[in-house]
Parts: sequence; structure tokens; C-alpha cells
Amino acid sequence: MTTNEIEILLARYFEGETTLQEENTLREFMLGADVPENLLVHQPLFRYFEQSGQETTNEKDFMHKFEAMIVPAVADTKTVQLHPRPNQIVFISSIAAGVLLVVGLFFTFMNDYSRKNKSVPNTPDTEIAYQQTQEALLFVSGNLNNGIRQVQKLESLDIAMSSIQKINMFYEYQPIIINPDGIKIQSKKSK
Amino acid sequence: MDLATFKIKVYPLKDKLFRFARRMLDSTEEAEDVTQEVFIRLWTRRDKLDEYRSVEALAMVTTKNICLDKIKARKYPVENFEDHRRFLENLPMENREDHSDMISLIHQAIKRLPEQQQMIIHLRDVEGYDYSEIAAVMEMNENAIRVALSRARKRIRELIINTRVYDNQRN
Repeated sequence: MTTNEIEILLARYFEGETTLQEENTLREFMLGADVPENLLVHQPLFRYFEQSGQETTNEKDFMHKFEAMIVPAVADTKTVQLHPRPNQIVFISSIAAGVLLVVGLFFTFMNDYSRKNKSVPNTPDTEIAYQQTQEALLFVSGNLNNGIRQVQKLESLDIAMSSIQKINMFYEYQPIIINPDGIKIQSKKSK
Repeated sequence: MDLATFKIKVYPLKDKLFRFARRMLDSTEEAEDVTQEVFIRLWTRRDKLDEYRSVEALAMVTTKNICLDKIKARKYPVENFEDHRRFLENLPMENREDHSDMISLIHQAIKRLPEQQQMIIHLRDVEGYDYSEIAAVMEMNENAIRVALSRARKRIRELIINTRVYDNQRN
């Protein structure tokens, strides 16, 4: 390849017009021994790129480190178990909270609405509208009742809670049962 | 994709990802961390890797994004002399005397380019990517890449030639 051809190639290289193949030709030439004096100024650039491309991760155990990180992750997915019970309680109580919120909002707006309604004279139009709203609200409340029936099952929680309170009672009476004299000591102090 | 396929398809990319990350972060340690992270992200998506046209492009895009996040999170620009010294020591003996100055200069010149141009010149002149591959990694069109590449190359040339002139005047 003549110097002239290389110069043209180099000019096109800086314009971003060379193909990968041409760039390879250029690199090979510039890294070779026959670079003419006037083009030597560009040699370090190609040397730099060549050198940069040969760098590797100098961490020898890169792969071991990676595999150590992913293997426990694989094992974990097998041993994880779901605990449905706490989830169910959260689920039911969130439904209950949601229903209570809707009921609360419903009654608040109902009051507002009926108060406003009283101040407006009952023209036939508003009466029809009132009846239609009432029907709609009745429909809503009918569905709400269905929901509330579900929530009432939560009462069984109360029953469970009352038996837990019996345990509290046990703790209250425990000192008396174990050490009946304790009461006397206490009563002396209180005097 | 099981571990065996992953090893065949993704493991060979590790040095390329490392070099790309190192170009952007200018730190060997951080670049190794990023490479690990890219591998883990690819592993968590291993079931979907077959859907991608090029796992390499995906890996490079992931590397790019993690590096850009890291650069954004930096409070101060990092000057990593340790890394650069190591680079110079790796140069072939016969060239070290003549070229180490120029090579540090080129390294500094590339570092001063906008991040986008740094990435593009690295992908082209170090990794030998074609324009469509660079476009996929950079998420840009090929013409914009050609323009950025030409700008980056000219900027570096300018710096080298100016330094030469300055040196000659001084001597």
C-alpha cells in the first residue's frame, strides 16, 4: 500500500467514513514497521487502541465469585414456603377496612344529600331524580349488606380474643395462687 | 437458559463488558463490580435471553446503563492514577520509552470527551463493532454515531498534533 493511499484512508478515518475492513488495514499498517516519518504522529493512537483491546478482568476468580452468588439464589427458591394464615388475616381485615370506609363515606354523603334535598322545592324533575337515586342507593346498600355479612364472620376473632383474655386473668391471679401471703405483704406496704 | 448455556453464551463477553465499563468509570475495581452486576442481571433474566436478537448488545446496554448511573451518583470526578500506571506498565518494553507520554495523552484526551463519544470511539476503535451494533448499544441512529465518532477522532488528533507542535517549539 502506498503512502498516498494510507493518507487518504487516514483522512477518511477521521471523517468517520472508513469501513471496519479499511480500519483494520489502516491499523495493521500503522502498527507495522514501515510507517513513513510524516505519519508517525498517528502511530500512538492505534497502539493505544490495540493495547486497550487486550485488557482482561484481572480478577482470576471472577467466575467463582459469580457462581457463588447465583447458586444460593437457586437453592433459596426451593426452600421458600408460604405462610397462608397471617396473609389471610391481613386479607380479610383489609376487606373489612375497605367496606367500613365505603359505608362511612356512604352515610356521610347520604346526610349531606338529604339535607340539601330538603331545602330544594320538590318539582317533579327533582322528585324523579330523588327516586332514581334512592333506587340506586338501595341497590348499593343491598350489595353492601352482602359484604357486611362476610365481615361478620370476623366476630369469631372476638371469641378467640376473649379466650386469650382468660390468659391475662391467669397472670393477674398467678401471684395469689403461687404465694397467697404476697397479698398480706402488699397490704402492709399500702398501709 | 441453564448454567451450561449461560456459560457458553455469556461468559465470553466478560472481558468486553469489563473494558467498556473501565473506559467509562476509569477504575478497574468499579469496572469489575459492574461486570459482576451485569452478569447477575442477565442471570436473573436467563429465561428471556433467547428472545433477544443479541445477548451481547443487551449485555453492553446493561453495562452502559449501570455505568451512567454510577457516574451520575459520583460527587467528584475520579482521577485514577493507579489504574493508569498499571496500563503503562503493561505496554511492550520497546515502546514504553517512546510512547508512554503519548499514550497517557491519548488516554486523557479520550477521558475529556463527552461520555457518549467516549463510548462510541471505544466500541468502534477498540472493540471493532460495526455501525449497526454500536447503534443497538447506544440506542441512537447510525448517522448520529458516524458524526459523533468523527468528532471524537478529530478532537483526539487535534490534541496530539497540538502537543507535538508545543513540544517541538519548546525543544
